[in-house]
Amino acid sequence: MKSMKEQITSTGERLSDKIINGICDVSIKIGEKSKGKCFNFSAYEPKIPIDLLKEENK
Amino acid sequence: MKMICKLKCQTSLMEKLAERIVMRLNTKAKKEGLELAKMKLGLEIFFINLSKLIIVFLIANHFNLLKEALFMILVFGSIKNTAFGLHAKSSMVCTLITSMMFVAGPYVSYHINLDNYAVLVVFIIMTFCFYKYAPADTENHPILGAKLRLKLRNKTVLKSLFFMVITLIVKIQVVKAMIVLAIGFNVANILPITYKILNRRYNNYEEYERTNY
Repeated sequence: MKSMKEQITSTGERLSDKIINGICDVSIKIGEKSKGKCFNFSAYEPKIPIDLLKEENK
Repeated sequence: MKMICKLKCQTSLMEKLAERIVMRLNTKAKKEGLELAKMKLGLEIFFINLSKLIIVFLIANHFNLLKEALFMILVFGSIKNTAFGLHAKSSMVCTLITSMMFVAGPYVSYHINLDNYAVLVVFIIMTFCFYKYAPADTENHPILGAKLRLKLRNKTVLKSLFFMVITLIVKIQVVKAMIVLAIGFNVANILPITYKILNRRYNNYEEYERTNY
């Protein structure tokens, strides 16, 4: 019974790790693609960090 | 005063939300520096677009203009992608402008009749504006490097010409009007006069290059 609980917990943790990594990767990709392009279709945009601007200019 | 506070609070709501989520995610993901900045920016862009588009689509759906709004957003977005242009300073104003553009736009399109001569003349003027003023950057996103600016301008002009051909070929009046309006909104966004009226700084890259190089 205990090992089954542990198994479920570890599977849940692995799954949540995968989901978190997936979200991180996708958001990094969006951030990466937004260099030198306008991705805000609505009329409001967040401030682009200076470091990203410098990288965009390389 | 209360209103200003309310606007300011709403301005950064999505940014705050993105920041909180990034902090949470990063306890496990352990990203640093540039990757962390990209992650935060990516999430902000995602949340801002999602929240605005949901509101616009809900309003458009209420007026039975959902398909039309979607079409106009696609045309507008595809050219704004390289032409850039003004963004509102607050999220609240942004929601209002975006809703007006993509709900009132399709509504007006049903009442406009454009023949191909008119389309041609309007597109020649708009393409000239793109050639002269695109890409128009903002304080939040200056476009650095002459090479990049030239590339973006050329791409925008090509897209404008592409849409001109499409608009000339298409026989459905509403579609013609919607394309013209979507591109027209974009032109209005990049004109120096718009920046002047709204008291916004034009050619922001100059200021950035002066202070950073």
